Formats: sequence, C-alpha cells, structure tokens
Amino acid sequence: MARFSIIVTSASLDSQGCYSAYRFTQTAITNGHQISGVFFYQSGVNIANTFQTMLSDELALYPKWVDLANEHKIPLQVCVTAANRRGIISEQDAIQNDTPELFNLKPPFQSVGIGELVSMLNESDRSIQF
Amino acid sequence: MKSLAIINQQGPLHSNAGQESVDLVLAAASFGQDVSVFFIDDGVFQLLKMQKPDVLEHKHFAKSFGAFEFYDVENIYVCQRSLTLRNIESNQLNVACQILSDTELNAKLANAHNIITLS
Amino acid sequence: MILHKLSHSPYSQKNFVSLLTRITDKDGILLTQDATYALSSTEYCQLLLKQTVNVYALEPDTIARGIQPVMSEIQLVDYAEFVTLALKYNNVISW
Repeated sequence: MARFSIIVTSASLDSQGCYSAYRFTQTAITNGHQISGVFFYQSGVNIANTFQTMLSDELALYPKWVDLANEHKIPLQVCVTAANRRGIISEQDAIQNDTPELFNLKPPFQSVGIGELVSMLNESDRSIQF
Repeated sequence: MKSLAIINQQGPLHSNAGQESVDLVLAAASFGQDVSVFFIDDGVFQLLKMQKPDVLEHKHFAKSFGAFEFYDVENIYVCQRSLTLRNIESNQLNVACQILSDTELNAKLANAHNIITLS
Repeated sequence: MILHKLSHSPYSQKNFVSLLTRITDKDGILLTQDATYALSSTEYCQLLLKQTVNVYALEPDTIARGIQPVMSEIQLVDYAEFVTLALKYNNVISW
C-alpha cells in the first residue's frame, strides 16, 4: 500500500487529463492505496467551478470528483492564486471582495496555498501529474 | 526534506505557465522543499536577457529568477541541446545556471522525488 | 528509473524527438491519451522502443480512440497496472 499525491494542471475540457486523474485516483483507492490529496494548479483549477453545466448526455466530471472526494474523504485542494486568476472564487474570497454572494468554489473543493501541496508531497510516496 | 524538480518547457509569452512556475518555485522553496528548476525545449527562451514583455503590457516574471538564490534555489539547470538548437549563447542568459548535457540532465531528473512540468 | 507518461499525439507534438532524448534504457514509457496514436505507427513504435524496451500503453485510451496497435512489443495496461507502474519506477514525469 502506498500514498499518492495527484496533481492536476490540465483544464477539464481542454484535454482528457482531468478525467484520467479521476480514473487513476479511483483505481488507486480500489486497489488499497491512499490518496494524500489532489492538488489543482494552472488551468486544472477550472474543474472546481460549481457553475459548470454540461448537456444531459455528456460526461459531467465535476459531480464525479465531488462524489469520490465525499465517499473516500479525499482532500480536493485548489490553488487560490491560480483559481482567482481564472475567476474561481471561494466563499471566503467573496467575503473579502465585499461580494459575499459571488462565489463558485464550494466544498469538497478547498481553496488553499501552495504550502498544502508541499505538505501533501511530504506525506506521500509518489506524485503523479495529469 | 523532499526534492521537487520543476520543468519549464514553454516560452515566456506562450501561456501563463512561466509566472505560475515562478509562483511554485518560490512558494515550495519557502515551505522547505529542495527545489531545482529545469529549462528545456522552448523553456530556454524564458532565460533571454533581452526580452521586453512590457512592450506587450505583460509582467516581466523572468526578473524573479534573480530572487531564486534568496530562497536557496541554487540548482538551475538548462538543456545544452535546447540552447544550441535555438542559437542561444550562455552570455545571453538572465540568471546564473548550469548548462547540462542530456545525460547529465536526465541523471538530475532521475534523482528528484517529485517532478512537475509546466506547459 | 523514471516513468515517462506521454499524453500528446506524436503527430502534433513538435518536441516529440527532443522528448525521446530524455528517456534512458532503464526508464519506462507509458502512452496515455493522444500519445496512444503512436501505437498504429511502426515508425513511432520503433523510435520509442529504441530508447527503452519498457514501453506501455493505457488500453482504455487506445480502445476509446479505435486504435489498432501494430507492434506486440508494446504492452497494453489497464488503470490498475498504471497505478502499479507509477510505484514501480522512482518517479513519474508527465510530458
């Protein structure tokens, strides 16, 4: 049994990377491994936007990540700087911006700093980027 | 302490990758990671002293390379072959760095605990 | 011992040849996503196998794309084997 850090830097609709990361995470858990966390960076943060609306017959990746995280208590950590650049705003950021209603990053996604990535890497055996 | 290799593969104005690489290097180093920075392929264009991104109203993030040493990031590795292919001489570079052959560069990568590519 | 995870099509990745020079004979190559298009080209398969004999491709990604592999030396793996490969090597680079 090993501990993995998953790093997602690809945007969910620009490549298959974010889906591959989901499948890898799911499989690692099924096979008895642990996930220290999933860290979303660069355009990978786009998946955290709760306003994403897919057509009914298309792949909706957002709810898949949410279910996986809730079921297995996996931290979904979103880099706050990368997210804010791309209009992904947590409730706390919204309050600071004096627009408390305007946020699109909700739990189980968490808005964090790069320090969280470092903690995640320190406690895992292997990292893999998608 | 774990080592983190960060690989830059794109030119400075290709995307926001250069800025987000600098953010990652400085933050990871300040949280105690042993960070090394690699410039390969078009990533070596980030090292050109002559670049003037302000002409396009872009932030000159490459100026931050000079701050790496204050964060104890002293391992800055550049691919010799990528420089040669792009007609770049070492005196055109904006930061003190080690220019490595493929064999040397691959050996450095093989030693890193974790590797993140920015593209 | 690095596992090089490729995800871009060799037909469109301009630095594909440059990428090959980063791979030593002890390393492994895992073709994923559009990189699996290499499987239907003898030329690309041979270029990969020249660097290392440890070349793998993620089977669900090939099936999803309708790719017919031309060389049996490249081993098809599922997600469970992908997880095992990521642990077998010392680290993973995603190109």
